[in-house]
Amino acid sequence: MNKIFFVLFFLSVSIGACKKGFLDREPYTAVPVATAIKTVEEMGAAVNGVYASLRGAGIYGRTIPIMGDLMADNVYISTQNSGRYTVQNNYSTTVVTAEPDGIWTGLYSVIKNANLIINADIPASPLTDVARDQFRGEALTMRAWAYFDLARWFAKPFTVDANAIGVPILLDFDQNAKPSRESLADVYARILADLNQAFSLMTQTKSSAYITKYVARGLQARVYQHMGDWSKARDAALDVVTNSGFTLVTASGYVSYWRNPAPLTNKVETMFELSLDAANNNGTNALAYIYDPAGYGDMLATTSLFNLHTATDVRRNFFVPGTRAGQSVFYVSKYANGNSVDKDDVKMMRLSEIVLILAEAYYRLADETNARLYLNMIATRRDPSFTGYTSTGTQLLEDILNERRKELAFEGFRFQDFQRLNLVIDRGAQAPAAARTITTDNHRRIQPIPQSELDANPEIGQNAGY
Amino acid sequence: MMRKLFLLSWLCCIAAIAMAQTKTITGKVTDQKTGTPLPGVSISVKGTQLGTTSKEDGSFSITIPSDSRALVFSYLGYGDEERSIERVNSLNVSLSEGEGRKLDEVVVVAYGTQQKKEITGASTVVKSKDIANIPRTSVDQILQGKVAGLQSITPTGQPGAIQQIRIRGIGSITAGAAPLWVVDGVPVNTGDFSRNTTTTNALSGLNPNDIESVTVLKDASATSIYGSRAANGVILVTTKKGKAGKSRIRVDSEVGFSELANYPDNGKVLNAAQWLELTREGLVNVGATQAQIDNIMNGYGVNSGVDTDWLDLVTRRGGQQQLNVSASGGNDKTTYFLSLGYFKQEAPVIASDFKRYSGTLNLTNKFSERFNIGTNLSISSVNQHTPSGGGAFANPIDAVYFLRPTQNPYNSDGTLNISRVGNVNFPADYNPLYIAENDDKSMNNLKIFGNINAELKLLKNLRFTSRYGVDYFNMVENVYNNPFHGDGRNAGGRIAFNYTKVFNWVFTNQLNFRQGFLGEDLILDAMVGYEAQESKEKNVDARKEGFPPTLELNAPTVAATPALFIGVGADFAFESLFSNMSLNYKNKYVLTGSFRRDGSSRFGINNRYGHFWSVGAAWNLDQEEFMKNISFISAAKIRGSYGVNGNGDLANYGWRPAFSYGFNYNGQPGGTFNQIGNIDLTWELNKPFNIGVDLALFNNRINLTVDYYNRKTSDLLLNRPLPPSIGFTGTLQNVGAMKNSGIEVTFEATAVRTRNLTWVTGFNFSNNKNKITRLPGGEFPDGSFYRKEGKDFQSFYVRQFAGVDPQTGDPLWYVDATKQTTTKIYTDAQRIIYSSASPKYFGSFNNTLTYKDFSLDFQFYYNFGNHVRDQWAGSLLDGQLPSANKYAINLRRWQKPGDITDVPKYQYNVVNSSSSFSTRVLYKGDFIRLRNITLGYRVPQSILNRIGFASGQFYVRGFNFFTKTFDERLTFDPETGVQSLANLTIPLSRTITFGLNFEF
Repeated sequence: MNKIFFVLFFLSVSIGACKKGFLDREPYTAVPVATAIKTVEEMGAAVNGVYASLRGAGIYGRTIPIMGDLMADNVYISTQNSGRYTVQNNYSTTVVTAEPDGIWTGLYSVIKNANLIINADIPASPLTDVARDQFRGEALTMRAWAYFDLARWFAKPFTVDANAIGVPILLDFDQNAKPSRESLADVYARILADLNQAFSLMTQTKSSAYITKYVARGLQARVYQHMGDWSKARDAALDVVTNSGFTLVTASGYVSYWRNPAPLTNKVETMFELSLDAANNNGTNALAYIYDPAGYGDMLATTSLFNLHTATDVRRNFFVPGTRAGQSVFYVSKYANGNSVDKDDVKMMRLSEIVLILAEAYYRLADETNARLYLNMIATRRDPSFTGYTSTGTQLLEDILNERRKELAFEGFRFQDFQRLNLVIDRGAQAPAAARTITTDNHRRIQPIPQSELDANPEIGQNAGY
Repeated sequence: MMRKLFLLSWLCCIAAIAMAQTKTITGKVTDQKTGTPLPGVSISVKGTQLGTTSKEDGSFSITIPSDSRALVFSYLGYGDEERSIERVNSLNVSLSEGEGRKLDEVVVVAYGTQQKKEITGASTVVKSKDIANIPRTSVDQILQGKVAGLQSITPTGQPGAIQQIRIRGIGSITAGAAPLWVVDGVPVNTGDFSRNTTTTNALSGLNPNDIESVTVLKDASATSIYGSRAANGVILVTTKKGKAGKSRIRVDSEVGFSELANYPDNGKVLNAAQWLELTREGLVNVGATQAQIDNIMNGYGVNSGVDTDWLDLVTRRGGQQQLNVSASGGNDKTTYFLSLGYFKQEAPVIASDFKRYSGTLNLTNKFSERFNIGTNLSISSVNQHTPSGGGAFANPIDAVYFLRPTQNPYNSDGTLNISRVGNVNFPADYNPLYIAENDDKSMNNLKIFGNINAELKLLKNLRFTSRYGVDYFNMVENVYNNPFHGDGRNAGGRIAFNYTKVFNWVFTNQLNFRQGFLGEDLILDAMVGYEAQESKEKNVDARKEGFPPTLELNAPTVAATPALFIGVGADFAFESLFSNMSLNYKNKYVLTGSFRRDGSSRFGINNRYGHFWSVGAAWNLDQEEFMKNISFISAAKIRGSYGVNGNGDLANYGWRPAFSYGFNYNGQPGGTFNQIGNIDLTWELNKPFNIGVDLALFNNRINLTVDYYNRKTSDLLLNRPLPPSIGFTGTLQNVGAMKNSGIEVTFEATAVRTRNLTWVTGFNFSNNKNKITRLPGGEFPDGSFYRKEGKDFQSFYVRQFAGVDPQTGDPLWYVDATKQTTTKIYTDAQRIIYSSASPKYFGSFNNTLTYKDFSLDFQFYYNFGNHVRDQWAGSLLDGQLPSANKYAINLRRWQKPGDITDVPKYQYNVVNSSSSFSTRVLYKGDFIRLRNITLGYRVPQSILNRIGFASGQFYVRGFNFFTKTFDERLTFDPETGVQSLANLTIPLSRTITFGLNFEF
């Protein structure tokens, strides 16, 4: 009889039970973070993850480009609206407003993921070093991009006070960190260092959905522009225009260029865009959907912006007259695929912008001939009937800024131009009565450090006025 | 290795105690009434595991230690009988039918059975007669009102729906609050595993007619041996087993129908004339011009003559049917129980039904005198049709309210209308009749469930038991939306397929030891065991769109475009050591203790194993000499317990710092560090204290049990905010605390007992008080609730409605809690913490009247002290959404100055928030329901004998027959789930069944 017992006993201690690791259950969709990036291939997948998070509607997928036009003079919100971004339209932001919280949280999440890639210890190998350096360069560029926008949205303009308080700099993950804000100069130094390193690491060009070395260089031009360091801005922009191999889109191809929802490999115009395809997109939270009258249709172009366009300007095609809430309005059709399966990609950098930075830099460096050359490179391409600007002095500067306004409309640039130039914003009569003229001392031009950060981090300081 | 040594050393030290002399006793067991021999009666030596069963002719023979004092005879449906065997060698015993003496019962407890006298914890047993033949789809629904301290709530009338069970209050904020279910010793997965069905219930695969008993364990002494899963209570289910003796076949059959139960008049909708009048009045009230009014009214079909009663169209008389056939029997070596079951229930709403086919085989074999083997095996197939719920256009109940009475269900040729042009057709919403006819939303669950077990008597007082149990199911959900009308129209027809497979196995090994000391005055009962459990879930979800333009085909293959493919899984494992012990001195003083060491994959690596324990004591006063003379006391017991257990119902992988894939980019796979995890994360801690009294008076004619409990839960999982600049906004930590305390009373009395008439009456009562005691992150509003230290977890956070201005008809709200001033501006009124969604007390009244062969049973269920919220009042009251139909309560709206009413002026497209969440749409949740009333007739023994039947009974049963509510403003039945939130679910049904059962 005891043999039965021993059979049972043997079974009881052998089946499954005493198996080592019995309680270690790995999830089906995740790996332990500590060992997530061991190979170049895993590094590449992690880089894809950061691109995917940049796409988020709380940052570059919608909020950042919308706020960049709405808080300036390009866009206003219809009285018939879905309730989105009305706080920004009214200039009534507080510490609990969702959008600055979303930008802050979203960009620092990008930084956390980029840090994981940048700090990944991938052994050197002649077979994979090129890919590893490329991925590290892409991650460094994305981290720089995030810090640049944190600095632009949450701190004073660098051109106003380079030693103003900036944002926390985190270069690796520490779950117990209570970071404090670094000076703006330190933040910009970090951005430039990352971009320099990125430029030297990257050698590959995949498609417009991925960062290349000249995207890093182009971003550097944009950063120097915001710092007012015009000779460096000129050098960086000129490097892109001369050496990158990208070309400008023609007038006849301009509309179809914007209609195309897919990334490009022909190096025409788009230097970098975030891919939103049929499988991975923002659905009804897409940038396109909030402009599209068949979507929310909340965002309307201001009359002042429309009036800048000549009748032969190809960009005028993007203003679609309509009626909303009993008013004659201009809908925006720059993003045409809000209701398509494949959604519009989010343009992060186009050659036109770099050319206009170059024009502005030459103007600031008192080379008006070259300033006009590059300004007209854009202006005459967009309006084939236009023979080009001949202006000089401050009129030339105004023409450059107006050309920027037209060329980069609805892409989120306009507000930051007002910021770096420290100009009063005249939003026109279509803006809410209480928020038509935004003086340079309006504290809401700088976003508040969100309540969620203040609550959890005693080391952080708030911006003035909140 | 430590574990093996531990088990072995236990074995050795126990073996040393065991040897003694023996003697043999023979005799016969008969039925007291008829004198017929009773086979299969279980005969055991009191205070030991030793025992045998009577043979075919009722005779028995048992060899026992010579120092044994008494034998206990027990038989299903008969009272236990205890006989002294000192200086006795033969014994004839007759047993009488009935419940037996309450305090002598043997009841199923955690990891075994126990005599009631030895129990120190709070537990309640529900027997098969109260579970079988009830027109409910699962046993958890049947438990409503049967157990003090157990709240069982139906959140929807969908057949096969999840049932919400809370034992002794809600004990968690973010983790699970449902009890652990253990069926035949196997902890099973319960809950709703569906992803695309409105509601399902894993327990609905278990046929309630196969259940012998349910034991609900409530306090530390009863539950702590289940360690980290005991905090929300434990429910033990034991299925029916065969008995040695004559083979018996039993048939239970019933048919009936279900219709809408309590449906308050105020919650019905308006007919066309009423609705059109209201709409016109609303337009006038907002100053619309005659031209505007005519334009809108014409659009709504003012002269169309259409007057559709959507409630009537989507409801029906649903069929109800049950058929259960079982065979049982066996001999002294082998017993069996075999059953087949069929259950069908149609809701009183179209496209909502449930069917179950089930089969059970329970076998035991006495391999030798010392070795038993057995198996319990059950297979079931559940088919369920479930319409979309809540605010979905495809929900027929949504359609009742949101469709206008002027929308036409039919075309002039009698076909179903699906035109999308114009307001008398379906421009946005759906024709529910077309959806019910042409869409399919179904679920099939194939469940295989059971265990194999073996028991070896190593020594006369040492027993080794091993059990391997499996709980497997395979769920397939199919949702087809036709290409012409409804959810599938934009996609050109759509099919979604969701596949779920769960394999859960549990391997349990235990050693039981029972030994008397001091000449049986002191009995030691000890058990030690080891258990491992692994549950694996696999999911596949797929979707295709673009069907051919026909209603004939819905196979995914014919659809053009793949739209979704998801495959994922979820696993967990537990590994445990456990032990309990009881010391019983002369049945007077009982001391118990339990211990469990639990490890789980759900706990962070820093806190992977936890230790849980309990101590309990009982004093059976009736055994004391000084009580023996008090003749009216049949039994009296005081018991108390305290202990520590846990709630391990956490997310499977929540503690892991994880880098997750699925963040894909440009057609390439991508991953991010998206879960910060917490390697310290662990179970929530529960410390229940219980003190109780059991009393049986006047020869057991009166039974009373009273318990007081106080359970403190701590280490509740809450989100601790982190600075977003580090890349995460928060992490779950074990930081919160909560307290539940209350009183439970169970009373039963045989008020009348004469030759022809008996009347048994009783009630149970539960009261629970919940309080959040620690919220380190501070108080916060959470939807319509407010979480604050010192307040009930489910306290509402609501503006106070102050009535209607008699002059203007405008709604008024109180500005603040003082109720001194009112405002017409909704947002100017402060929200206050108000009442709770949890009842203050609930329970039932039960009565059984038997006159000769007739019997009448009725049970009232009651629930008092909570408020219930209408989630859809905003749209269905007043003019906020004028395109929808309205609750009939809008008929008593303010119409002219001087009108005194609580329903404001009807204004078309009103924006004053009159119907938004306020105390106006928060109703008293109090109700009393006649849950069950059964009139039965038992065929007399004389007739049965003539036709050769063992028993026969006919009955007619009404379920949810009558409901009394206490708030006349209610627009729905107040039984709306734990959160007390009405959400356009399938309404509760009232069922009437006619049944018969017989046995031969």
